[in-house]
Formats: sequence, C-alpha cells, structure tokens
Amino acid sequence: MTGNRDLSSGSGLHPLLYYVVLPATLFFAVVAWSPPFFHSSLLEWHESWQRLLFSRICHQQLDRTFTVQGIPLAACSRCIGIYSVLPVALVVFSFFFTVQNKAKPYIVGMFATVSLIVIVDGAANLFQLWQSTDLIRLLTGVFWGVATALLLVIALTHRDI
Amino acid sequence: MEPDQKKSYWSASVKAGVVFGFVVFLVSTIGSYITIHSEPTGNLLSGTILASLVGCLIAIFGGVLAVKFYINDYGAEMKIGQGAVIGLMTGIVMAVVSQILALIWPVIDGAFIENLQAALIANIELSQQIPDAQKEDMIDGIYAQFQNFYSVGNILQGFLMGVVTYGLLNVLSGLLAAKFMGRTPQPEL
Repeated sequence: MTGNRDLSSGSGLHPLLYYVVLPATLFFAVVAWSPPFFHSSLLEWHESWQRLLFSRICHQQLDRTFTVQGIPLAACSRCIGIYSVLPVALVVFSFFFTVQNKAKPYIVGMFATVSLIVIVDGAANLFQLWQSTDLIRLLTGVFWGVATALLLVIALTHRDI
Repeated sequence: MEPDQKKSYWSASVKAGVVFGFVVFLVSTIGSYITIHSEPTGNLLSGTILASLVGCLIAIFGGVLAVKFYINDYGAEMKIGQGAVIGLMTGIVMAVVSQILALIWPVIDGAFIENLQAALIANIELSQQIPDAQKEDMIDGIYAQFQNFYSVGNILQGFLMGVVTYGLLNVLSGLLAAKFMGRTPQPEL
C-alpha cells in the first residue's frame, strides 16, 4: 500500500479525531450532564454557564428535558441522546471499524435518513401534529449521534485504506 | 515552475463568517420580535429560543460555505485539517459578527430589551412547567440578565459561548466539507 499515511495514527484515522473531535464531543457530553451536580435550584440552573452554552444549540424546554433530583440537564432529551452517544460511538467505531471508501455512499445515505427522521419528528412536535415521548426523542437523538459518529469516522479515515 | 501562491484561510473564513453571522443575528432577532408580539401562553419554547436553535442549525453550514469559497480561490486540493481550521476561523468570525450586531440592535430599537424582558417574564408567570415557588427566582434571574446586558462580563461570556459553540460546530462541518468537496493533495515526487 502506498500513500502518506500519518504514522502517529496506527488505525489509519486522522489525528484530528483524537486531538480535536473526540475531546470536543466529550466536553459537550460532560457539560450537558453536569448541571444537577453543581446546582440545587432552577434559578441556579437558569444562570449557569452550562445552560447558557447549550442555549445556542438546544431549546432546553423544561418539559422535554430530563431532570436529576429536580434539576434539569443542560440539553433536552433528544440532544442529551446525541451528545451522550457521540463520543462513545466515535471511540467504538475508531477502534473496531475502518471504513472502505466504497461504503461511503451507504453511510452518507444512512446519515441523511436518520437526519430526516429527526427533522420530521422535531417539526411535528413543534407544530403539534403529534407529541413524542421523551424516550422516543432520546432514541432519535441516540440514532442521530451514531450516524454522525459514523460520518465523522469515514471523514477522518485516510483515503488510502 | 509556477511561483507558489500563498494560500490564506482568512478570505474564505471572513466572507462566510460575516454572511452567516448576519444570518444568525437576523434569525435570532426575528425570533425575539415573534416573542414580543405573541400573546403569552406559558410555553417556554418561545420564538427567541426557537430562533436561536434555527440560527444554530443554519450556522453549521458556515464551515461548508467557507470551504467552498476556499476551493473557488485555490482549487479543490486540501487536507481535512485545513477544512477544520477554516471551519474554526469561520465560527470565530461568526461569533464576533453576531455578537456585535446583537449589541448594536438595542441601540437602534430602544424599547427592544424592555419589550423582550416583559414578554419572557409574562411567559414564565403563566408557565405550568415551573413550580410557583421558583417562578420569582426565575423572573429575578431574567431581570438580572437584561440589566447586565451591556456589562463587560456579559459581553465576554456571550462571545466566549459563541466561539465555543459556533467554533466547534464549524470545525466539524469544515472537516466534513473538506472530505466530501475537496481532494487529497498528491505527495510531491
């Protein structure tokens, strides 16, 4: 096999995965789960930097957010599924899974399909066509997190594998 | 041999960052006006929150547009890491632009902050999701949040949160764009 594979990455994955993407997703996962461990009232939660951070990327609606001892997490049930599973799936796929380029269209297609499901369910909830349970929201988030991790792993796979 | 053209990420990042920073601000401001002009229902999923969510979904594509601009300028040969850096820089520019515009707008519409504050508080007062005992605390929190709108701490915090969220999201979209739109540079022989 020829090519300029980075020797620092024994699995053939780009170092960006280990040094940037994985720490970033881990950071978001930890922050999303952290408010109940640092705050004891809704006011503290409302003023917390964790809530502020996620307020740009999640609606944080209280009736759609899991709570621990009465304190909401920093992200809604769907987002908590995404952020929780993303670093785990990245680690699993990067250790046990190297993707051939020919698999790319299927993974991109899978990502597009799961994204569509999440968008349709989110929009239907928003426009009150139906109301999903928190478990359904969590599961759609988990599936989307897995699909995103797969997409990132193929993106960060050296092309000569 | 052709002279080596110095490749800069700035041009692509600034162009895409300014465009998307403006769009994010626009969506967020429209959402705020929707909240202001809606009857309070007690639903905490207000136009403001929804707009920031939609704005964020749009913002992810900033990194993609910046990579597209870079490819237009210098050709499709690029490494994934370059896409990530372009995405990060775009996210930072986007955070700066949207933050500056968000600070300027209340000067143009002098009643903006007061009206938004009143609308958010009215929604909290009618909310079934917050225990009565905690409503007063939440309302006090909102007052404090808007009173400190122009404080240095609040501005820096907003900027930092923007850099972290838009920066990291655009790192991901930038590297994905580089992977799917770019071409790996061939090693020189």
